Amino acid sequence: MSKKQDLYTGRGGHFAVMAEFLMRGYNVAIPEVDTGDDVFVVQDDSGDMWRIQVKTANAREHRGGFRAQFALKGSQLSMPASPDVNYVFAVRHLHRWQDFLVFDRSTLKELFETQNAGSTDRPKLTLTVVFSDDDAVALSQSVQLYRNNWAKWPRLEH
Amino acid sequence: MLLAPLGSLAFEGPRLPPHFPALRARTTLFGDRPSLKALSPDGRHQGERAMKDPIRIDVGRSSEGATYELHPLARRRIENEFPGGRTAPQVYVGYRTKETFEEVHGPIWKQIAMILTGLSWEEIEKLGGIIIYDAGERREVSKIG
Repeated sequence: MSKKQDLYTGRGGHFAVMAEFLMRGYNVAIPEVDTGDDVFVVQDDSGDMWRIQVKTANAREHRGGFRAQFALKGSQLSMPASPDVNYVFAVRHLHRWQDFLVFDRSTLKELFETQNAGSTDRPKLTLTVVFSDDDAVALSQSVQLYRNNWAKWPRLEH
Repeated sequence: MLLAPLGSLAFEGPRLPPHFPALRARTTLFGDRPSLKALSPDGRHQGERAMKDPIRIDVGRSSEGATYELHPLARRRIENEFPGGRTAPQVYVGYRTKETFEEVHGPIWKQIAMILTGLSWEEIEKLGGIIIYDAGERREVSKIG
């Protein structure tokens, strides 16, 4: 896939994630200057704010399911922050948004470190996720629990 | 200003000097976050090697303060050695300027370790003490114990 197509795919993922937050009743914003955060999510009445990092991939067929690969920066993943970063992995498959994996940073860091100590000290990381109907596996561990898990942002009624 | 820790976390360490801008400990984002330990039942493949190493505490610094968290393997080790204990996901401590980080925070690193681990300092010492590791600069800031 061309670099230009990657830009379109990445932007499409951002807006798909933003659409999900809006439909859940949360306000969204894109930072004017790109310094690492892709989307800010705001709960209007409380002022609570979340930093969101969106990663998007076009999935490929894989043993009856599909497989998606994401690139991550080790520095962002390893460093605690307040407010902390949340990761949403948007998976495009068969010309539609098939799944979203939703992690907080520390959970994702744990996923990498428990499989390979010191891995988040590397500058570049790759997360490969294999999806089937009833499971999602990354780094030899099931991440099904995080599949389309938006529980941190319960639906708000306005 | 000292903010009371959230959730059921109890902090019984020495009182902090009044000039600390802010300190707070946070409970998990998903409530009781699903533990990846259950997905890797033995929990030993990486942890065994580090059993006698100090507890690593990662710190990320911003312009107004620093956020501390246990390294995932350190947390797993504590949970294995002290089942039923309660570790805190993060502790945030403010400062006036970034340059004063070590001067202002250094004297309370033991207390921060106690909040994060849920252990007494004596228990932490038995585990090998602590290393404060700057995750942004990728360097060891201090080793205590």
